[in-house]
Amino acid sequence: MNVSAVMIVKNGARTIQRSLESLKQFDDVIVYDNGSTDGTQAIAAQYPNVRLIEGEFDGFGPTKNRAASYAVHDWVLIIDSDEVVDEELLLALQSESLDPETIYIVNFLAYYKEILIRYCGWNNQKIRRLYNKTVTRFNDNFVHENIIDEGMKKLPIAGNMKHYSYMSITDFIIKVDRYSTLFATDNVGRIKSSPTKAFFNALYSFFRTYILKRGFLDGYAGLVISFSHMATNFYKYIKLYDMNKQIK
Amino acid sequence: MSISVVIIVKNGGSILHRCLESLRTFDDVVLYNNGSTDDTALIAASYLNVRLVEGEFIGFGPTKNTAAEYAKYDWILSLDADEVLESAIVQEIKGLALEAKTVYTLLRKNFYKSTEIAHCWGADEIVRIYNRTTTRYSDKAVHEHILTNGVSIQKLSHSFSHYPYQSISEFILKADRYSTLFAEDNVGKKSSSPIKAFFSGHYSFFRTYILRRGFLDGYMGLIIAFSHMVTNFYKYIKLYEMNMAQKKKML
Repeated sequence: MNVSAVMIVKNGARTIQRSLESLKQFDDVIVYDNGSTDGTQAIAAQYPNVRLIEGEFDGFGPTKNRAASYAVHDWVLIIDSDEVVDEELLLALQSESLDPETIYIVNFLAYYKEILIRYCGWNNQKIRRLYNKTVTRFNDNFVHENIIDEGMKKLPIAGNMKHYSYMSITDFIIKVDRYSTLFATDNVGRIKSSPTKAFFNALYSFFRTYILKRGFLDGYAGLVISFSHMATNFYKYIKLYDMNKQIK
Repeated sequence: MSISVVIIVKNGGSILHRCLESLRTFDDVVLYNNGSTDDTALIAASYLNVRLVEGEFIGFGPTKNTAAEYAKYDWILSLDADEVLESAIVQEIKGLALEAKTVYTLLRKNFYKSTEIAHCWGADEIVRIYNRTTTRYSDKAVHEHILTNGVSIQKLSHSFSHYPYQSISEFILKADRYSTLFAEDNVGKKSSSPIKAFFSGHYSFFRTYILRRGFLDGYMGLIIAFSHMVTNFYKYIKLYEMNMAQKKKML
């Protein structure tokens, strides 16, 4: 296969095994670890096709570019430590002839524990994940990083990436904190915020996920997801408000 | 008569500095450290009047009693690592003619950064000075208090300051910790459902923001009320999930 799998990870011990198992057919897997304290490195070291690199985290975009620079192949498949390549995607990567001027879009199936989430806006997300690093790269965004698509074609590739990002309710809460801090850090001094904005933004995001995206059809998991979207949005804007006040 | 200050601490963090700084004029401060992984011990080492004791956590009441055994004097001022004494209250304490069979209550005001949170977290009157030959803490693991049977209670007039949260992130992380503790304590004992989680969450927002007039605390009132809602929702939804898992195991 002429594709390298590139993963940046911090404290992914609980999920990385399943992820690396799905990459056994790759001859080059880069695991770029930024300061794990949970034994992630030891798990990664068990796989002969994995090269473990330990380095800094300076935002998702820049860190992914740095990790990709270690890849042997020009083609880079970006994968997170809680994602699994399914059979169909693996087959496509092995057999398709890839066009360097194209960014390939991967379909995602999202899980909470072992429950496939069909609604909540989680289902069938299409994300740019496969690109030729001699032609393009990630932009420098701290969060919401993406592969630069100027002058590039974009095509879907067969198969799916299975996403196991949440294995407990505590995972949701930890991410509420993490994402809201990242958002506020990224936007301080640039985007205005207020308590009212935080409150109504939060309410709207519950409504959007639970009603408009029909999260109620996902059972109690849909409620957890919708509620956590609401909490994330509230804390995003209230942390931003707090930080904006401090720089004044 | 002299007083020892007794503090039990785990991961005291940045606020511990301010706490110990406010106790410089006490000659005996016992800091009972139960399993900190931050620089609590290092902070303590920079104060000559602070004695660091390493020990186990066996529930709040018993741990506070154990810590008090290390004090040099029989009169104990019991504090938490996120509490700070202003000089007025220090002077008042030092001037007390401590009487046998008496305990003393202090008024505690709650702050976030430099703002007093007067509505969501109303000030509370708590017994904090006692003689360990007369009384002690109850043996409760949580909601412990100094036993007041057969002793008289005297109020001090100045207040001290409590800084329970140092950042907005702490509200979120505590919501996680409390909700897990609640679910673990109640699994198999209390029923729960997604609907209960949802409405209990919303009610606790209403209670804090409207009934307790949290809206008068400004944007901090909103953060606290919202965080109460978040904590309650996750409490009951975690309990629901744990109850389900337990049922599955029993089948």
